[in-house]
Amino acid sequence: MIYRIFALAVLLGGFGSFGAQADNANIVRTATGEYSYINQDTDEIVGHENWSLLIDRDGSRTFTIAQRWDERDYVTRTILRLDANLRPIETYQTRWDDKGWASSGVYTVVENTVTAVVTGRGGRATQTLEVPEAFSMVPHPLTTDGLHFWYVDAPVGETIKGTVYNIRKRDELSGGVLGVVHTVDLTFLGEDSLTTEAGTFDTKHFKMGEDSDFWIDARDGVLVRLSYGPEGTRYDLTAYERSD
Amino acid sequence: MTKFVATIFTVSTLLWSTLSVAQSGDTDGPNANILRWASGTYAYTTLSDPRDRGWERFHMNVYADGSRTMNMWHDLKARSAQFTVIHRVEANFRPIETFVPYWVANGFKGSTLIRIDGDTLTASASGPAGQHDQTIPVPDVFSVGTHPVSADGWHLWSDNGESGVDQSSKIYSMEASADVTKPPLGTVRDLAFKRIGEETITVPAGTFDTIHYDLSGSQVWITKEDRLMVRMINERFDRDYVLTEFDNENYGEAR
Repeated sequence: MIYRIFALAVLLGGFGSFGAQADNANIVRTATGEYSYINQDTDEIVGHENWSLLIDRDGSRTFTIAQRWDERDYVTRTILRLDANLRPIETYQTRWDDKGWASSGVYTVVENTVTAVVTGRGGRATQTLEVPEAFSMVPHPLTTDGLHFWYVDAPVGETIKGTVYNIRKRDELSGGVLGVVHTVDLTFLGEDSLTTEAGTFDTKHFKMGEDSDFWIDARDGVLVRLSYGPEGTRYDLTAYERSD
Repeated sequence: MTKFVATIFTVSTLLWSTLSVAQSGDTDGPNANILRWASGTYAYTTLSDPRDRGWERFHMNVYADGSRTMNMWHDLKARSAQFTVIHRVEANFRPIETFVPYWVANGFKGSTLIRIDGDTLTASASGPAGQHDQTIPVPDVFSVGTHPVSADGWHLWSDNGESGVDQSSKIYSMEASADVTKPPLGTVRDLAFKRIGEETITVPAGTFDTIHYDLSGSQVWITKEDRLMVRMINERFDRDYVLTEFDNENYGEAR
């Protein structure tokens, strides 16, 4: 009896035997990468992120992200799931700030709503907000910042209004972090070849607002570089590996 | 004034910086929240052939309050299963919170958030089987079994340190079959184990000082402080899970 329980609990795949091993039918391909947050004045690395991407057989994607921004004593762990178009399906995130653990939450998209169920230092809270068909989610790891432009189909130089569900609103009672829906200006500036430590990439160059430049490897919405002028920080993809 | 303007500007424009700038200021030195970290990769093989059955990767942080977070994701191609897990535990390894999206051979099975509040566990699963909520009592000593092996050493946190003595714990074990009509919720079960003793073992990832256990019929070797799995074998089921890569260097050096 105990043996059977173990098999169920720990050793998944513990029953039966297998023939020649085929690939996982659920996984089309995988990718992994790392980012460094670089002070442009000193070249000091002030933060870091590593991530894994699994592309599932229906085209949906699962990102798993470990982020640390040492300059801010900030840490997040995130799972983000997207559909084949890169529209968000759900996000789980737990985060630490300069006071220790701060919040955990699940943010679930059902058609045109996002429902947040969050826990903070003071308890729990829920929230449901409406979102349009074309929107992206902002849990704040850099990895997710390549995913804001999936619906941008404007000619070079033309600015459109985009929508983001931004996970940034601290609930006063629970301390959990809820979402805010707001618009952003998105501009496609053309295609660039860009080289970082991770390699040379054919990228699409976008602007968000006036001073944020994003270079995206459009195959999977992977951010290659983000540059934010006023803050003097550059965020570079420093390692990248694809299974294909 | 310049700093204030910069902050407002950031809040209104750069999404990434918003939360950090608004909620915390810069500090000097290393990240005060992270005491240490580790990452690694496991190979899943059969013992007899050995045949490749899949792989698993993890990234663990240990925080200033002693709590830990484990990111785990695997490709169990032998079952066309793919599980992604974030698992949080207290300083003594008692579970705090877990989130799991499961893919199984028949497709997406669902996502589940599990939270523990004292002696109550609540789980909320959504997927092809619909929305299912669960609230059950849990004992003081228990663990959450999500099926990737990285955190399977955390099932043994109640070890009393006596070698060769039968011990037991409880495990909240997740339903993870290929049947997508069954939501990924769990049940609390008995878990028997025995501490064999301290052993130094060498695996492809390196040489580790470990504690060897018999975990309900499987032999497992885990690190001491963080209880990370180094190797698990089960002869009856012809299974071998071995750590092939390991990294815990200081931040800024490699990862």
